[in-house]
Amino acid sequence: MAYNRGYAFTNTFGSFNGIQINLVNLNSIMIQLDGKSAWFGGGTYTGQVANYLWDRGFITTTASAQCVSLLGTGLGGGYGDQQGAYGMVSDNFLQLNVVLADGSTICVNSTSHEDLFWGLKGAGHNFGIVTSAEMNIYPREAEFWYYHNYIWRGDKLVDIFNAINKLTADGSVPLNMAVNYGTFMMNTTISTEEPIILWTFLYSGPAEEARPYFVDFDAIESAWDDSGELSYVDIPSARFNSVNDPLCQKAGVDKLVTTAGLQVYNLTTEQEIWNRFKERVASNPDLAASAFIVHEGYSNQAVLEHNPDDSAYPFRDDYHLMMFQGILEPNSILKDEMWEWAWEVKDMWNAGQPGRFPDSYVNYANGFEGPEEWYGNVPWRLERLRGLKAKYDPNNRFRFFNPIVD
Amino acid sequence: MAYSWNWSRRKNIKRGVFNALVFCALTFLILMAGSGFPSHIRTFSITPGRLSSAQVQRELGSRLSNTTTIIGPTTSNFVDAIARWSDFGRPKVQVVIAPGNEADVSTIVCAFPTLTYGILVELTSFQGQILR
Repeated sequence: MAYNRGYAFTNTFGSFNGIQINLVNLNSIMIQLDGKSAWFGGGTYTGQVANYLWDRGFITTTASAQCVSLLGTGLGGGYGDQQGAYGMVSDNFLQLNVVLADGSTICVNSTSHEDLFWGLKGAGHNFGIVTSAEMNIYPREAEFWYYHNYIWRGDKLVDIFNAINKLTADGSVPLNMAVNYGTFMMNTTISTEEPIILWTFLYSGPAEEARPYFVDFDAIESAWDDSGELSYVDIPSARFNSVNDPLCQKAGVDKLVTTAGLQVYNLTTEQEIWNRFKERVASNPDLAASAFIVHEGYSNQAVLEHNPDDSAYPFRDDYHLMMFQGILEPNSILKDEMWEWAWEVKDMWNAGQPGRFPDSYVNYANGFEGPEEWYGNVPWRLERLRGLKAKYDPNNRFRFFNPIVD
Repeated sequence: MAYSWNWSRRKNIKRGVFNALVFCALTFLILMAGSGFPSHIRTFSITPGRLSSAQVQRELGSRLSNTTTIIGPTTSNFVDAIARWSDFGRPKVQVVIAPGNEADVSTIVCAFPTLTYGILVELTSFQGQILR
């Protein structure tokens, strides 16, 4: 089993027992002479890539959290802070070197094994080990990014979600409003009786330019807020996902995760999710202290400009990416209750968007959902992926990460 | 009711784990039957560390680049090498091989075709044969 940074967490690899191929040494980055692309080793990761390219005048699409693998993220599609301008990580794949199950090495691009190229962009963990990839890179533009973090109390919930829905209506998030990211969580310095609502915004440009987009949010009375301009490479610490932040730590704990994809926030649903969090603060404070209900949103103009049929990533019309995260010590007595809560929240998100099939971003999936939920509930997508599986991995060796075929 | 906890789904979780165990057991039994596998390969029970880093070194060392590292469970940095963001459902790792270059990945996959994919097979005397 290939391993880079260890941030994959699906239950489906629990049955693996064998050799780990650790890609840590394949960490080279080579910018091509024309300055339009670079080769990235299979061991490269977001913070390393972002810093290396920035120092040389470039950026590319990466995951948002600085600690996670570049290519592992991309093989599942790849949401990230730059997607509004440049698309998802996988949209920027130009070619990939892949070791198949029989040990042979192939180069995959739009003219060589182009069928597999389609599959690697969204379902890529199923076919082989990617040892390196060439991706588009872009001249760095916005020198400074504006960030604004707010902590709101629960009584502002309706105002907050109305403002977010207005900002992101029909998926038309303003191009430079790169990230909006809201979490229900406990913060006992604010309240011991109910969860706070922490919302982080990142705007790729100066404060002056960003200001009009924050009028609605500034008007909602906050319990705490913090804002400023930072260089692009310093932004992660302001949004709590640098390699040193708790989010990135590997602390020997179990993360119990459920996920959902949404187009618009259902205010009734969000209020009910928050209410039930508050009920648990009273009935089971230890449980409540260990839960984080995360609402991720990214600018998506370039994501929507890609024909959705051109890659295996199936959910371009999900504008918001949800994640329930329960963090427990191994063998915690709270495990059953945390799973109950995790599924409850996922069910509520999906019940709040009647008519849409549940989606699970494959990089956030817990492994219990199933192929339709990971790769699209569309027969042609699954048929095509099964065909690729039969052709490139007929013995289904690569079946431990949310497998197309069990 | 739509928001209530779905007990049948929780059963499904347990069933998923059960199915995985059944799958492993079946795989084990099929391999035990031994059909189709060369005689120098034998099956073994799930014992962590059964495949030693010394064994990997012996069978593969000379064919991998000299920046490759092989890390067994008794090596001090083994825990770091397999650390994960979440320990829930984590894979079992007997030996870590950190290839020094891209070509090494192919060499490893060819040398340990089944162990790389988590099927419980041990090579007792590697002869450079590729198992399909």
